[in-house]
Amino acid sequence: MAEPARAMGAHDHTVLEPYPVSRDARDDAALTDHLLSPIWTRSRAWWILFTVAGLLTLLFVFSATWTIAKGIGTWGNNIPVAWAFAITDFVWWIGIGHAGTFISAFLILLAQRWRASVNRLAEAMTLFALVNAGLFPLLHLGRPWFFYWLIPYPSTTRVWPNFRSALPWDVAAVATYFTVSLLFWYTGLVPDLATARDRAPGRIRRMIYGIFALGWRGAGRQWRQYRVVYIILAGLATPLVISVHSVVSLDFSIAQLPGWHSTIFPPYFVAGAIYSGLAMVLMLMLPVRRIFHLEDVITEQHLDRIAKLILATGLMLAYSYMCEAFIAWYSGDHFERYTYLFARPRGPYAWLYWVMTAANIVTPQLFWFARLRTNVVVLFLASVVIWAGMWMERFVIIVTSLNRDFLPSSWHLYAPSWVDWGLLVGSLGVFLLLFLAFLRWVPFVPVSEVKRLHFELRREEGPLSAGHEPPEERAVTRPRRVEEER
Amino acid sequence: MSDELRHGYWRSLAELAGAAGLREDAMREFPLGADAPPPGMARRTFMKLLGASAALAGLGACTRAPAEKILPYGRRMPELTPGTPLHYATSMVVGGYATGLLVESHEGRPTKVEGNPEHPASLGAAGVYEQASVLQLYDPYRARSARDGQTPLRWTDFARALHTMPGAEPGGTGVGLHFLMRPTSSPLTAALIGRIRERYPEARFHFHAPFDERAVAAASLALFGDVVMPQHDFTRARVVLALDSDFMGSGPFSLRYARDFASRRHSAIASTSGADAGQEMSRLYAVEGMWSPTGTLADHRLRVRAGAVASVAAAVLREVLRLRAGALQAGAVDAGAAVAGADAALVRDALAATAADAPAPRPWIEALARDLANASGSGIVIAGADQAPAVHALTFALNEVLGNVGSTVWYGTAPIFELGTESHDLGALVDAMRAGAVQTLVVASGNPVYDAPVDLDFTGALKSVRHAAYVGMYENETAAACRWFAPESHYLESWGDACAYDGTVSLIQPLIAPLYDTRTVDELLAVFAGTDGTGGNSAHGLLRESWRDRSGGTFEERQWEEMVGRGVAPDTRSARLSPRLRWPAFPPLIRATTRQTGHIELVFERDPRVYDGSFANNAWLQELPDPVTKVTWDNAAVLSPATAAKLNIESGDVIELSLDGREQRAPAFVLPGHADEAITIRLGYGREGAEEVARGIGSNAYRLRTRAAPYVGGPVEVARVLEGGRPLRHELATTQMHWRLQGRDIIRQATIDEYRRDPELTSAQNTRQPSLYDRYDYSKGDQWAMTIDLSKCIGCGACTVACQAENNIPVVGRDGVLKSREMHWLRIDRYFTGGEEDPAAVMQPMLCQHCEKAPCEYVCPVNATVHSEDGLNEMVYNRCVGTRFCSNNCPYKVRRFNWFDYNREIAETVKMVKNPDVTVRERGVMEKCSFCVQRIRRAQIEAQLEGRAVRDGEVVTACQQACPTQAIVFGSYTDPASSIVRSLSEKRAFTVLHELGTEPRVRYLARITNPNPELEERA
Repeated sequence: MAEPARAMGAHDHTVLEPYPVSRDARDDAALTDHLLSPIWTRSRAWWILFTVAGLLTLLFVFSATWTIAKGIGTWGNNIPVAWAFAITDFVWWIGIGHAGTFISAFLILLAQRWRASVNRLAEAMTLFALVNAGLFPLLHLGRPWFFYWLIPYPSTTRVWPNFRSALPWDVAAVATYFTVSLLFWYTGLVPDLATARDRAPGRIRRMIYGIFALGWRGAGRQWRQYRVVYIILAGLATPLVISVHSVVSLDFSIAQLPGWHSTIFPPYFVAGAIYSGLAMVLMLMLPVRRIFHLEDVITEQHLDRIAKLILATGLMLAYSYMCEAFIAWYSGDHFERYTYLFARPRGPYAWLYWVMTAANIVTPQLFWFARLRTNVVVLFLASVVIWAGMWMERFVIIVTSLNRDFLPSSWHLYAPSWVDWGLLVGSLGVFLLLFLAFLRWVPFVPVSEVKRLHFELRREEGPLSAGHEPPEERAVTRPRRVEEER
Repeated sequence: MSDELRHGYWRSLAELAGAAGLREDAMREFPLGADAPPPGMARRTFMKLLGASAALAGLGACTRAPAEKILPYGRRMPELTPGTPLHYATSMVVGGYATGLLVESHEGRPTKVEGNPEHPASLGAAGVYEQASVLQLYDPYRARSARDGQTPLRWTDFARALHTMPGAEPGGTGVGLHFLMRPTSSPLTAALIGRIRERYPEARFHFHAPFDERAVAAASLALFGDVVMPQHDFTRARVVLALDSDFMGSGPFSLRYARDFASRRHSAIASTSGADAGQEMSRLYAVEGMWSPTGTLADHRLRVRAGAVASVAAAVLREVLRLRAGALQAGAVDAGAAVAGADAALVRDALAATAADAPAPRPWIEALARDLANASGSGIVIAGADQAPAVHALTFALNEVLGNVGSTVWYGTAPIFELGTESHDLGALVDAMRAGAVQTLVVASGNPVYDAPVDLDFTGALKSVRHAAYVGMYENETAAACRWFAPESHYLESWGDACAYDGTVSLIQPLIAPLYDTRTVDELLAVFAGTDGTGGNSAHGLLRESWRDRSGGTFEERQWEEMVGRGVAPDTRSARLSPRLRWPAFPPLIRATTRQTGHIELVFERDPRVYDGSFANNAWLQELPDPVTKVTWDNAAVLSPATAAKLNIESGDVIELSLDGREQRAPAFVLPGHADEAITIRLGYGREGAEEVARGIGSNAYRLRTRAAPYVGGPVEVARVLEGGRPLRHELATTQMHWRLQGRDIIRQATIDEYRRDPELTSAQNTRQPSLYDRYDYSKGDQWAMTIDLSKCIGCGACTVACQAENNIPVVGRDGVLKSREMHWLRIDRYFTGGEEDPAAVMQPMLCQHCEKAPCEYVCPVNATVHSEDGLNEMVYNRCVGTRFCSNNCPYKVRRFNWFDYNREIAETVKMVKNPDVTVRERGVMEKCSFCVQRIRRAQIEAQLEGRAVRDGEVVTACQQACPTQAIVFGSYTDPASSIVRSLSEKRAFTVLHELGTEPRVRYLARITNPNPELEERA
């Protein structure tokens, strides 16, 4: 990594932001062409990946069909472990979905410039993760064809959902979140779709992009209204980031099961969700950045910031883990103590518990080191470990609490069936399929926002150029720091 | 236009339009192809359809009422709960003895078996075999047709064929004609046998069952000079010694004994409150190798392998005699009760020899002997039927010496026909078969090819019999070895009679006409007896005729109706005999016992679920967990932890047992509290007949069982089976993996002294938890509650099967149990307390606790589980979407989920067993105990119609009804005089997981034991 070393060497060490938010020196037209080029070009690698994703999607469809045709008995679930893989997958996917909205909505409200080049990708990830997250609770129902009974509507039976249960709220929260995320994502996309329309080679593509661009002309009034809507949506989405996973956590904490019944769950789940989501953002972003030569637009600053966020959320998670165990001990409650101090660390799933702890608590500690925060290989590997570790966390919470609860007579282990695995692996395929389609047909770096960022930077410091990097870079970052200090 | 249409009539628009094909079809009476066999139909499909048609024929059961007059249970008793469905009294025979039953019939379709309160062996309770028998009636794998080789026959043709067999020709003497039957107590059968013997003087009858009472008979014949059966009155017993006897869990009178024992114990515990404390509680000592339900309730259980029980009994008798001698000198007791002069020395020597190596601590024996001696005249020593004659002799002697005979123990004539004679020796028949003396063998019921002692080689001998005919319910192993076969009727399709263990004659009346072309064993015998006169060959006629004969022709219609309606013939109990014990016969009898030490012995036991294999095709019984091991769908070689460690065996390892050069594989199961140096294996598994449910399940231990050692064999060689260098494993489907209480207060127990000192010992677990919310007013109307007395529960499982039958609970099979998906609404949790080697066991029936603050209710997103005003936690099946959140939040884990569409896959005949009052649940919904809400609502509707409140005892849940020990009490606590209020107000009541504040409506009564203070430090 030549750049950070050079940057570090060239700078005063008190400077907190050693990397530029953009290093791209192209003019707007060239930049637009560069950022739109992936959607006009075809590649063999894409087709291969797309085929793999398609096959995995078929595995998902097959497993889901099998489940609906035969019943939940095709899974490994039992009594006492009535929830297992599917709910683990659900919480995991929905957690992943949190990073996207966090990056785009939170950061826009906090006026973080670095979000500009990565928010589209993160939001797309959110949407596709939510698609998966929404499917699992549906498949998980014993009678999925009656899923709509969880929705409050004035039914002829005059029976309403039970509002004391967390599950109808869960449905509402996830549905709202999906709707707002979709609107937010699409609103941000409209100017770029218009750009794609204007630059599309060939009439058909022009027409298709034209339809989706909803008549965007780039007029000043449109821009003004667009900004208002975008900020409002960001304002709407921001509390949802907190509320959705809080509601999801209530699915567990309203129960009286030791291991679930805990008031720390909402913040703990939200931190964990953002944590896992950021890991997945990195997992997706690093290859995309490399393959499409976006290092100038998605710079080390982005990597560094995300790594710091991972470290921060990772520490929150570590605190939650410790707090849970401490409170279990401090409560003096026999059942709590058994779950936290025996069943998890020493029980039948102890290996999973310890792998999870290592993955989620030890891994982010790497990011105390500045060098590692911008080391692409370390970042990628750490992300994969955290990403998998967070799946294990949900599994540990759900299964190790259920499999040994109050009466030892009902204790029983859980083992997944091939359908459980098929749905998990298949859902990765579904995600990959959607994501590849997104890369292929949608401008995945927000062209207009990057151009706007460049415009702002230029207005502040004059045109960026590779030759003048150090002084301009300092100039760019300094006002930000001042803002932070305020 | 066709002619028809010209008249203006048309049946459909298509017809009016005149579709050509339709018009053609309409002309024809049967459309094209209707008479051709359906294309592509496999044999199996055809058989299924055949079964379905037969079953559907049965579904119109209103028209299938038997032609003879059958009589409803008319005499209503105040404690009975008659409803719209009719109840008929009948009896089921297990092991030759009858248990009286009341069978619920819905529109001519028997669905549920209950005990007959008027029958001495039942008193209203019904065991697992009786409960599950109704499923056997509808078993789709029952044989449906007679055959000669592979040629199907009608029963009448089969009967005709029998008469052409050598020895059975009309007018012949019966040379070469042999019958092999199960031991029977039926007066009708006995009468028919008598007639056949008159007609064919040379015909021979043989009786064989894998479990019999020949040992008791032998001991009784030697000591008393007659075959008598010991009878017991547990309501008056202060001290009970069970010598390898599961008198409460198995055996012909076990339901009665369990009731008697528990009621005495309970009245002692219940009277334990402050001032009037002091009524003496009975004390139970059990000496056994394998856990029995009786053993789990024992105050002192001596873990001794089956082969050493005789020496323990001898040691006890020796000690008792020593005490007696002392008392005799002091002039305190009557000399007549002790051993008379000259014999004393002989007896003493024999006892010394037998008791020499008793594997029991001396203080234990002494304390027990003292206890027994102090309870002279109010003690019972009872021995298991499977023990050797020596143990029975010792038992007779102990009761004699202790003065129990005449008060708590007496003798009655043996109800089993010709018990103790040569006809009960299968060896004699096999010898005759080998010698070629058997021309024709008629096997009536039973399954000797499968269950005969292996060294007799019955199967080999059968090959030398030219004419072998078998009548049985299944095309089993024996049917496969016989050329002629005819199906036997189920008892719910039969007329007949049988005796209870105490001699009471019990009537068997059918609930339904035979589903298939079947006959009873009596009807088979009638073919040979040639009774073509008044009654024809129908069992009904034979039965009436026999009763007319018996009463000397004065038997009136009214008497007959009364008797059949009640199911019990009045005043038929056998007389109380007090035969003199002949001491000189005693020493040789107990010396005959062969003691074995220093090697591992193999103990063969009847299975608490499939009996000897005859109920192996019953899925309810296969899925019922074994009372102690909790294994389903399998049998296992059970051994103690110490023995397992010595042999380097773990649970689930497949081991090879070699006994006398024969080998058999079985999975091992390590059970705390089993005797060391012994392996217990249950019989009745490893079936190879046409019983699809049973086939291939478990290991056939009959392959190791010889004539000389039917119950205890040894030395047995044990070796782990290796496959590719690794131990071969067979995972056993157990419903409970963990047996420790983990220091949790789930079960409360105390000794009677502790309880008397501190009656408030459970009060902390019997209060309301403080709450921020107002309590719902549960004080009006009926408020249902249940108590379960842990002092009474023996874990027999009758309640589990009763619940399964009453509530249409599906069976999930071995795979389902392995995945922990069993559907039982009521399970029995078994915990061990104390060390792993010699623990105590305690049973806890666990069902929906109907919590007033139910954790399942508030988490259900669709309000599918809600609370009723009368305190029921209700499950609304058609609202449930199956999130399973309720199960996760249930701390008792009593909710069950329909993982598959279990009810769609069952055979058409099995659908007939479903209770029409209870919804059959579909796939994807939760279910759980409803407190038998269908019975509650039926009673409430009746009460409402009559403008009164529901009376105490009017609602009886299925589990409560079946429970032999009456451990379950149910009722409304708003009725201050009700039994539930009495039970709830017992000091020792507690709720499980009280600290969670769920406020359950089910309360448990702490288990109170009565250990001998002399031995208490040990216990």
